[in-house]
This record gives sequence, structure tokens and C-alpha cells, in this order.
Amino acid sequence: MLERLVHRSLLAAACVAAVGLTACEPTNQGYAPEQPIKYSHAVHAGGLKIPCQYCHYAAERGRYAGIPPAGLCLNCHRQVLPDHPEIQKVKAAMEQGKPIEWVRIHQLPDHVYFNHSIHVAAEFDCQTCHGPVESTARVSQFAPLTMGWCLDCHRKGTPEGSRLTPVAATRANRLTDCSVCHH
Amino acid sequence: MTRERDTKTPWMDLDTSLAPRGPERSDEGGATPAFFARRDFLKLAGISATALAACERLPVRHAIPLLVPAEDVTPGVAVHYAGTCTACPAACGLVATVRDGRPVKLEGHKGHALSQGGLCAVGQADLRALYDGHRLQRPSLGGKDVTWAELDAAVKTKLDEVQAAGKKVVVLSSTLVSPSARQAVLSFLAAYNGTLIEHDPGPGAPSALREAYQILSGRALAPWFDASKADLLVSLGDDPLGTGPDPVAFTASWAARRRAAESQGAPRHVQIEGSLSLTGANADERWLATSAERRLIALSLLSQVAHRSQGGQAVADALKGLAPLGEFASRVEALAGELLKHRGHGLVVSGANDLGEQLAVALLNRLLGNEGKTVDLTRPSLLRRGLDRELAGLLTSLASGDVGALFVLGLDPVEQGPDGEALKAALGKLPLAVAITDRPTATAAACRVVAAAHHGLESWGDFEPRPGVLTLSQPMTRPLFATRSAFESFLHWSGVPTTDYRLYLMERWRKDVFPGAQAADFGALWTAAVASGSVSGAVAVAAASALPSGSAGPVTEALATAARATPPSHDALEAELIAEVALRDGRRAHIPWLRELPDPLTRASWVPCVRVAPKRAAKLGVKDGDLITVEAGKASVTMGVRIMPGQHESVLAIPVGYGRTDEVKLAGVEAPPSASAQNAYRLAKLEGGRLLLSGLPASARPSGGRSPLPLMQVQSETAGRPVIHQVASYQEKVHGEHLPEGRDLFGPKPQPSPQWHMAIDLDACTGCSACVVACQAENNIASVGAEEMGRHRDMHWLRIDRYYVGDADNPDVLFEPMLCQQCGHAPCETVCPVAATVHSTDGLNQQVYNRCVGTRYCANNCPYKTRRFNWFNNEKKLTDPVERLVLNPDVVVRSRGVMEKCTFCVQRLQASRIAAQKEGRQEWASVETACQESCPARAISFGDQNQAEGALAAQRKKPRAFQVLAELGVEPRVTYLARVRNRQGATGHHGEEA
Repeated sequence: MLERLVHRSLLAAACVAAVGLTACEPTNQGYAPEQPIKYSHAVHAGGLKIPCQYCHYAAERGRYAGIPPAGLCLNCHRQVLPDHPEIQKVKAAMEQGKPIEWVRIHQLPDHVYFNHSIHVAAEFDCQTCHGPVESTARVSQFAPLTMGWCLDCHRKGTPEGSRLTPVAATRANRLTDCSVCHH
Repeated sequence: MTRERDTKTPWMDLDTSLAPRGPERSDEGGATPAFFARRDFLKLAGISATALAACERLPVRHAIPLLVPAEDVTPGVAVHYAGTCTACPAACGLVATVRDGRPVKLEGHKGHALSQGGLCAVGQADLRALYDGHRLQRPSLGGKDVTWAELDAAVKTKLDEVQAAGKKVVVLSSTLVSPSARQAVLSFLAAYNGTLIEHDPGPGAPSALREAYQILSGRALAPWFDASKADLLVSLGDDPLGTGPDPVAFTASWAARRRAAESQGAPRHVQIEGSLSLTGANADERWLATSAERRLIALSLLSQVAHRSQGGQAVADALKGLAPLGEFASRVEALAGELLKHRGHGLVVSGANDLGEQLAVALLNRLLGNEGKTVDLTRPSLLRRGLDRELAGLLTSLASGDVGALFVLGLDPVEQGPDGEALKAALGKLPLAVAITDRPTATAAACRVVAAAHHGLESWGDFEPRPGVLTLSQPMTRPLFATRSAFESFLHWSGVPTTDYRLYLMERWRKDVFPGAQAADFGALWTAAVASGSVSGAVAVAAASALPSGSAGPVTEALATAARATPPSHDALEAELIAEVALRDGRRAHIPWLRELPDPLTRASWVPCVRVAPKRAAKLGVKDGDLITVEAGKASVTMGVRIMPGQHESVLAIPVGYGRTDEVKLAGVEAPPSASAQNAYRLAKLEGGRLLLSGLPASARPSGGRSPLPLMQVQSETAGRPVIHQVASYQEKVHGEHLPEGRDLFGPKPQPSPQWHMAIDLDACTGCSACVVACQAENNIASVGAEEMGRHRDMHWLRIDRYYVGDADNPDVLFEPMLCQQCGHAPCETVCPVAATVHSTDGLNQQVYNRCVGTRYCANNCPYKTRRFNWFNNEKKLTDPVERLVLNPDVVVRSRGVMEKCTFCVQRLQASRIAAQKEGRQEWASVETACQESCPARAISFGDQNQAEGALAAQRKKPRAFQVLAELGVEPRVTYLARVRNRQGATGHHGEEA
């Protein structure tokens, strides 16, 4: 009898704890870790107006936008500010043959398959999801990247005036199928 | 077993076979603590874990870009490279899907002249062999790791010593299908005055076939058989569809003829065999005959055809005094008549390693005018070249000490030969024994020098499976380990200036393939050849020299000898060594995908079993799974019994390829208990310069005890449900059950295009199981191991159900690939309490893993039993980081407690939609599923069911179309086309009787 009582109260306690804790949002929004190199989007994208896809060239090709290879940085920085201490780090990486380990900010769970290229083709501004990157020195996660947030757009279907042909596939209801992102 | 069978109702197994289960396990065993029951504990733990996980930040992960952008490599974007499959000598065309520098999927190459886009189970699974954690990783000398320079120096020193001592240098290899490799090996051998001996273990394209043509045509060659032009195919104990030297190419041509039946008339296929093979299962008519009876049938057919053919008199005379045919007399006469009726449009093949039978078959094809039509001698098959007598000679000279150096290339003769122990001892005594292999085989253990070889996907190579078909392979990835291309090793040892195998290959191509090309032109030609995987345009084939025809003397002499051979005794028990579809000769027996692939006929996986006829089993007093010892000569094997309908009562069929010593190192998954007692190669007999694998006089006795028998199918009856059909002609309509009108509870749903639908032609499907492995590779399907398979916890999303129709002694066999039918009114969806399985706009039944809580209600409510539950974190068994590279990054890896099932390769559908939208195409239904893409028979069509035109629509309109359990009203999205059994005789082109 006593066992049963203890057992029941433990179960109840666990339930209460669960309800209390789930109220907190499971998101990394606002996550802005320190990076190995103090790269500033504000300087490059904001000040110099370098297009996002100059460096993140994979965004229009496939799933990942990609982080530019160190070699791409040095295409300019062999001439521009070659002695800057942060550039020196890039050079050192190149010389040692050791790739730079950036801290990943935008992480989707493993069971989500997001494809950058189709969103680029649909002419979404990068800022729609990534926020005003061009005015921030240190990148942070702008959007919550939760499923509900994705669906807010997907329920609307392909935006008006998009370059995408209005094939049947873009109908709003098709873009809310589970298998669009989960497979 | 005694059940009366009607001739129509399909059934699945003999009653005695019912549910031989694996070890039982109780979930609620005595170890449960008294305080908390196990399930209550899980409830608590689960709730708390969910609560805590909710607030956790995602772990810190790093993103590591390349230092220098690599050409062709965009992160996350797949690149496809053409190549050639090296899993067996058949050299089928290959396209590798490479993601971020590593191959993740192998497909057939649609442009390949022979394989035509198919890729068999073994070829598909070769990817797993690349990422095998137990591959040899570096060269070794006497068990110690060395550098390549040290190994080369040691080999060269020894070679010089051997040469000085006047001893022979021999390379023993499986058939070298690569002309450049052959040149590399031969030029190495030329330097040391050595010899090349080619040998392929296992049944299929035996030595006697080439010996027969040596007598008949002056050259030891194996003809190329083209089944696409054969209205009538007669196969004597041969299994070209399942385990022949080129199953993909043969299946492609065999299925091409069947698919053309509507326009060219119904083909017919007669199989005469002792053990039910995949080819036999697909025959229109099947006779049961022992090996001796088959030889007699071949000779009698020849005698009857020769009598009625011009120029056949000498042959007919030589065959006078043939033993009486007994029960076969009338059938043989009718078959001879049929063959004569289809002169020039028939094909006779034999799998026997018997000169008399092969000669008879070759002469049959010649007298019937099939040569030059279905039998090509001018462009023969180059897939098997060895002669058994050369192997016998090698073994003799090894024993006598004439050989000083033996290089074993890719083979494992210690395990794949009759007397492995003797060979092992001989290898130990040799001054120089070199094993060139990628696995720690028994031969590698017996050789002092082990030259760890690249996997085929890491190497350059060229292949010529048939004159005029020349293909290339390029490395699909950087070598994973410190290995070296097998042929590069020979270049190092022969001391030629070019030791880079790629440069050597290019050099040979510059000289032999594009002889006229200027340097600049050659570069372009070479690049084009590498990109397409083959030479575009026709390759210059040496003018088909008229074959010298064999002198009549030796031919008739050999026939007369065969005719005088002892008449068959019907009751003696004989052992027949067979290859299984998944393992073939056993060289890839360590790949879990292949071990877990249920045999299409026995439906058993992981463990070998002796196939015994129902009547013989009754005589021996054995049931399914009972251990039985088969003795043939001095050797014996002990395996479990599998009682097989369609097996000749006197024939015990024993699969080769099991019982390897390196089997314990099966990647990631626990190996079934196995011992050398399961190595059937030990039963083979080297007699009179011929390696006999069938017709071996044997005795059998139950040895007591039971073997695990993990079966994929455990029911014996279809309970009167119309799940599969066969018809007698291509025009016959299937009368299945249909849902009565107006019984739809759900009401109409919108059907925007595309609405995915699959059609599977059971008349083309051979049951070869390539699709099963393709699905496994594409969808990250776990291998669960023998024990779990025994508990029916298999994870295959696509299985091939096998049904029998008719008499248990010789039934018709039907195969039915069974996958999620993506029901329009899916019974699984209505019972899911958490909406983890829901319908998509394009008609798919989606499974959302992250919503699934594992109630398994859906699996219980699925009438097709196509849902699979993860009882464990199967993927965690892949602990080796190298082995994890095999996972497809486009498909999520499921974890414990989650239901999964076929998705119609939804990742491909989505990729296709995205590509179409980006390119502004309206149409995106031209996508292929993994199973469809691999199918050598092109039995699967897939597309949008709203489209009135196209392959899918054409299939669905055929009278043979039916849907499984359509009467339930679930609206399956898979249509099957019934198998045709042509009992009437072929209706193709009729030749003229001479």
C-alpha cells in the first residue's frame, strides 16, 4: 500500500514538473556565440555592400547556404588588410591546412530538411529569416526556427509575384505536407 | 504436407514450416525490481525526460568549411559520377551519388550496353563494403604492418630468389575483365616467366562450357546469350537470372522479351533442374531432374533435333545407344518439337560442369540455327575465362613444390576450394605467397605478404565484359585507408617506369583504344570517356574472325563417350552446391545488407540451410531448422534444413559462401553462430581436371540439434484472400475481388497532380531482390541481425513475398514485391492517436517519426504488414565512424520506439519538386524511386496517376492489372500486373522445320 502511495505521488510530481517546464520555448533564438574570428557582417554586407551570396554561394544551389572556405576570404584579403590580426588567423589556417571551426548558430534538428535554394529561388530576402545581418557585427539567431514559425509562411504558399512558375506544387496546402520538410 | 492443394489458390509454405521461431524472450522476466514495475518506471522516466529536454539549448556544434573551395563539391549537393561496378566480374554500369566527397548510393548506369540501368543486390551492397570497418587498412608482412616501399622491396627480393631457384611464378585471380589490368598482370608475369590462372568459384558459367566450345570451335570461349531474342528458352540446371556470371544483363534481356510479349507473342521458358533456382521459379514450365537425368535429357534432345536437322547425321549416329529416357520420353519429344519449331528463335543453356552436356547444348544451339541470333560467338562473354584443369594443374604443382611464388588476387581459395587445409599448408611453405585483397580472408592469413587493396570505388579501372563494350571506372572517393590499387602493386613489382595505375591506364587507352588520336584529341576523348563511364560510339571490334570449326572426330567422340556414361540411378542422393542470390560465391558474405536479405525462395536470412524436398525430409525424419549433416566423399557440412517445395527428392541443395573464417568480423551486427562446418565449398570435388559442384554422391543424416532459422514469411496459407494472381495469357483479365460500388465512407478527396502511383509487373519481376537492397541503402534501413530477424523484427521497407501455386512437389512460384501501398483510405491513419501518420496532398501516406510514440496501432491495422517498428536504436550499432559514412544524408535515421515504412522515396520526390520549381518546369513526375531505379527487369513504373499517357498509365490499363486486397476499400496506390504462365507453347516468330 505504501509502495503504491509513493509510486503515485512520484508520478504526480513528475507530471507537475513536466507541465511547468514545457512552458519554456525550445528555441535557440538570440543565440550569438563567440566565433573564432571576429568577422563583421556589418562591415562586409552593410558597409561594402557585398551580396550575401558572394560568400554564401551554396545557398542558391542546395540545402546549405554554406560558410565560405578560408580561401575565399583570402581572395580579397591577400591584398586588403593583410596584416589585420583577424586576417592573420585566416592565413594561419591556410598555411597550417587546418580549417576554421566556426560555431554553428542556425541549427535545425536532424529530422528537418530545409532547403536554401528553393527559398532563394522564391526570392525571399535573406533577412526574412536571418534578420538584419548587414547591420550586426556578431551574428545571432534572429528567428525562432520553430515549426510553427516555418508554417506561418508555408500556409500562405508561394508569395505573390514570385519568379517561381505557379506550378501546382506551390499550392499552399502542398507546402504544409509533413514530407515537405520531414523525410 | 499432406494437404490437398487445388491448382489455383496461392499458398506460402508447407504446414511443417510454420513459425520456427528464434529464441523467445520475456519482457517481464524475473529481474523486475519489486518496487517499480518496468513499465511504470519507463512512464516516469519518459515524462521527466520530456520535461527536461524541452528547455535544453541545442548542443554547441561546429561548422567547418573547406579551406579551399573544391571544384564540383557544393556542400549538401549531390554529384553523380559514372563508373563500373566491381562487386563481381560482370562489370555492370554504375552511377555513384557522391555527397561532400563520399559515395552514398550506387545506381545502375542507364547508358550501359549490357546492364541497361539495373544493378543487382550485390552491386548495391558494394557501397557497404567500401565503408566496412574491418577492411584491411595497410600492407603487412608476416602479420606486421609495413610501408608500401618495404613491402615492394621484400616482394622483389623474394621474386629474384624464386627466379634464381628456377621455380614458377603464378598469379591466381578471378577472371580479369579489365584489359588494362590483364595487361599489367601479364607484363609482370612476362618479366618473371610466370603464368596467369583465372578461376571463379561457385556455380554458373562452368569450365565445361568453354571446353565444349574449344572442341567445337577451336577456342575456349563462353558465348554471349541474348535472351531478348529467345521466344523459347530452355535451361538445364542453369540459373542465369539469379546467380549466373551476369545476372543483371541476362535479366534485362530476359525481361525485355517478356515485356514485348504483347507485340511479339508470348515467350516460353522451360527449366529442367534438381533444385529450385530463381530462374526455375520464373519458368513457365519446370521439370525436376537429377544431374545425370539432365545430361541424358540434353543428349536426347540433341539426338532428336539432329535427326531432323540438316548436317546432323554424324551427331545422331554418335548418340546411338542412349539410355532410355523413362518418364521424360514424351516431354523430351515434345520439347524437341518445340525447339525445332522455333529455329533461330530459341536458346538452350546449361549450368552443368559436364563436357557431354555442354557439348550437347552447344550443338543444339548450332543445329537449331540459334548461333548468330541468340548465341553470339563472335562477340562472346569475357566474364569467365578460367579452365578447371589449369586450377588442378596449379594445385598439383603447389603440392610438388614447383611453384615458388603465388600471388592470389581477390580470391580466397583457402575457403572457396575443396581442400583448403592443404592449400593453406602449401601457402605457408611457399617462398613467396602474396594475398592481394581488401579483407582479412583465410587466404590473407595464410600468406606472408598481404597487399591491402583499394575497394573498387577507390580505384581507376577499365572493363571489357564483351568485345565492343568498354567501360571505365574512376575513383568515387579518396582512398579511406593506406591501401593501393591491386594492379598498381603489379606495376611496382614488375619494375615498369609508370607505376601510377591511372597513367598506365591512360597510356594503354592512348595506344589501344584511341590509336589515331593526337595528344590534344586524346585528352578530350579521355575526359568524355571518364565522364560517361564508357566509350561513346562504337569501339573498334577486331573483325569477327570466322571461328575454326572443330573437327568432327573429337566432337562425335566426346558425344559418344557421354552417351555411354552410366545411366542415372534415380534413388541415390546427390548434393548440389548452389549459389544464393544474396551471397553468390560468398566474396561479399560479410556485408550485413546481403546477409539480412531474405533468400527469395527459402525466405531465410543470415543462416545457410540445406534445401530438402518434402518427401526426402519425411524419409530423413527432419523438420525445418533441424540440423542435418551432408557427407559427400570425405567432406561434410552441417546446416539447418529448409524443406522446399519444388526440390527434386534425390537432390540436396547446399548454398556456398557461408562459413567463412572472417565472418566474425561482420560489420556492426552480431554474426550468427557459424563454423567452418557451414562451408559448402568443402564438398566440391576436383575430378579429372574438373571442379564438380553438382551431382555429388552424398549421404545425409540428422545430426541432432536445431539451427536458428530466421524466416521472413511464417504463414503457410493465404486464407482464401486474393493477394496474388497468375494468368495463362497476356490478354487474360484478372478477376480479383473489387469493392462494391458506393461503399466509400470517406467521400471524394481532391486529387491535385501529381498523385503518386506505382505499378509493378510481376511478369517481369524475377524476385532478384535488387530493389530490397536499393531501398535499404537509400533509406538508411538498419540491419538487425539474425536473432532479431528470428523474432520477425526485420526492418525492410520493401520485401518480396513468395507464393506457391499448385502441387507441393513442383509448384509454380510467384513473387510479389510488397511495400507500403500508400492507401488512399489508409487504415493506419485512422488509428494513430497522435496523428503521426497522415495523408499528403500528393496521395502519400506520410510517417512523421518525431510525432510517433510507438503505439504500433498502425502496424496492427495495416492489411499489408508493411510497417516496421524500431525495437532498438539499431543505428547505434553502427559505431565505427567509417561505417556511418554509408548513411544517406537526405534521410533521417530513426530511433527506438518509432514506426517506419516505405515513403515512395519522398526525399527524391521533394528534390524533384524543388528542381522543377527552380527550373520553372510544370512537370515533376519524372522522378524514379530507388527500387525502380535498381530493377534489372524494369518491372516497376512510377509516376502521376492523373496522367492519361505514359508508362504508368499504360501498365495500369492492361487486363492483367490488379490491386492487392482492393476489396477492403483502402484504395491502394500500387497496381500489380499478374504473372503469365505460358503452358501453350511460345507464340513468337515460328522458324521453319528443316
